[in-house]
Amino acid sequence: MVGSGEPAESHSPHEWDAFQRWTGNDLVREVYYFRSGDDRLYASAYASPRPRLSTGLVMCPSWGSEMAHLQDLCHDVARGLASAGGAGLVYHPPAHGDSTGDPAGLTLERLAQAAKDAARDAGGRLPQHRWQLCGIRLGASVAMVAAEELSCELVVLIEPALDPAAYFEEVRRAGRRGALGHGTEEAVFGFPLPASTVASASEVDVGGAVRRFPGRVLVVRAARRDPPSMPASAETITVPRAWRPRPSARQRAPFVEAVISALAGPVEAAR
Amino acid sequence: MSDHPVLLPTPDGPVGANVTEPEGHRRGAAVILEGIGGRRFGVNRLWSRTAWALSDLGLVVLRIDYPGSGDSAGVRRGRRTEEVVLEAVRWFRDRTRELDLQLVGACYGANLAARVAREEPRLSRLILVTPHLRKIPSRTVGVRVRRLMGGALPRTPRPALDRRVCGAIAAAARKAGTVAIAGELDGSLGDMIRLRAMVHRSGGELSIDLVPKTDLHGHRTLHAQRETVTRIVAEAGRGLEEAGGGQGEQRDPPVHRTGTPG
Repeated sequence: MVGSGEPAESHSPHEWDAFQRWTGNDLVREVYYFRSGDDRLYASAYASPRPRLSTGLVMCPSWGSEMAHLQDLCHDVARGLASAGGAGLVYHPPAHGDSTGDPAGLTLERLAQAAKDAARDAGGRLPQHRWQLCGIRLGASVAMVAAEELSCELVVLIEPALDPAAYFEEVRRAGRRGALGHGTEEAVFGFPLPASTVASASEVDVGGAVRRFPGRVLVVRAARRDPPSMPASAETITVPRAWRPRPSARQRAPFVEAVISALAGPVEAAR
Repeated sequence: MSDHPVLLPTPDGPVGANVTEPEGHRRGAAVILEGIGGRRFGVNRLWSRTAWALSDLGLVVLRIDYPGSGDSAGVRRGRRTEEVVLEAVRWFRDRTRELDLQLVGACYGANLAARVAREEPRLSRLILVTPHLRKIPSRTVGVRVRRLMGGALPRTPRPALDRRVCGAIAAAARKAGTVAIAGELDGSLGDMIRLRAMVHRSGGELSIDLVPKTDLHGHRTLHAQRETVTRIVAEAGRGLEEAGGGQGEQRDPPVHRTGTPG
């Protein structure tokens, strides 16, 4: 891989680091890196300067191109929750975004480990909040697996893909269609999808994690004619909108409002 | 090298960016401007990897999230991307003013890079990657009516070449070495050839670095990504050599074909 040299471990304080925090618009924000295994993962935290809500949500993003296309939804939920008095954290998984990591070594377990590390790090930085997980698409599977070990009380799942093997099959099919002859089997929408990643999807028991989870599972999903079955124990909110793979701000808003309303009351009250 | 995420204070909210610092001595500065709708890290971390590779050359590199996306999602809507990018680059240059600047602009980012180049006194290289040189289609009533009518009306005409952008690139090409990296299969290759003629007529020089049998735009294949990083780094290296003096004559001919065949 060209340019595969990755950033060094840590560095002495630098003039740029004075700009890692920002306060305004009734928000406190911080951007930073945290350690997860051998990788440095990027994180962006949102919090209220006057916490009124104990809930903090770590946003577990999806995989590959979906991570990028749904990143703004992660930011919207994190910012919305912070505006309502809570906190939110968006991180880039290994081998994604601004984080380091080798795509060839990416497994569901590795993704779940990163989510756990993100939550533990957030708990150290913003201990006034009780950190829970929120997963989008494949991130929902990641969140469910990670939540078991973290002893979370709440998991929020947005348009969840709770069968990782089926998810990778679906994105591979979509990638073939989207490439229109320009793509290759090695990558899906420009992202490498090694066989080891696909194989790891069958090795995690997401269904079992959902069944065993003792806390509240909140599912927020789009309206559709034949909705996939969700765990009976889950509380489901159906948003009367179609799911868009690259949602605009207007298309994201009802999903964000559904999450914030369920956790903090009507969104209007938070503004 | 080390990455430093930052939140740049602006009157409309914080703009998210990432600054990559080289390990040792700084030899120059660079700004990577991706296409609209893209992310500062790019498809499969294309721009993150480019920043890391450029910092290996000794460049300190800035990547920015455009207003409304990523860490800049909180920036007030309605602010023009161009204004925000200019503000962010000024902030960066206030802290790197002793260094020459190289600009990398991909797709619509080429438009922004040309705008930044206009006010940059120490521009040493302008590297365009499959630049978008046409006017941005407006979402006017006419366009919406056409969409509603479906096939009943002829297709919306293709936007014309944006003379303002081409003029800005031509002006930059008179100040500093300028190259357009493109794939042989890119739909915009014809525009780049026209741009090269315009630049030449205005007294500058634009070389086109062509990747054989490849569609670079969108960077949908790992091959396209590898070629993009390799060629940007090679161009930036030439920029540093030229700034160092004595090697400017080794510039490539206006069109050359190098690299691994598709």
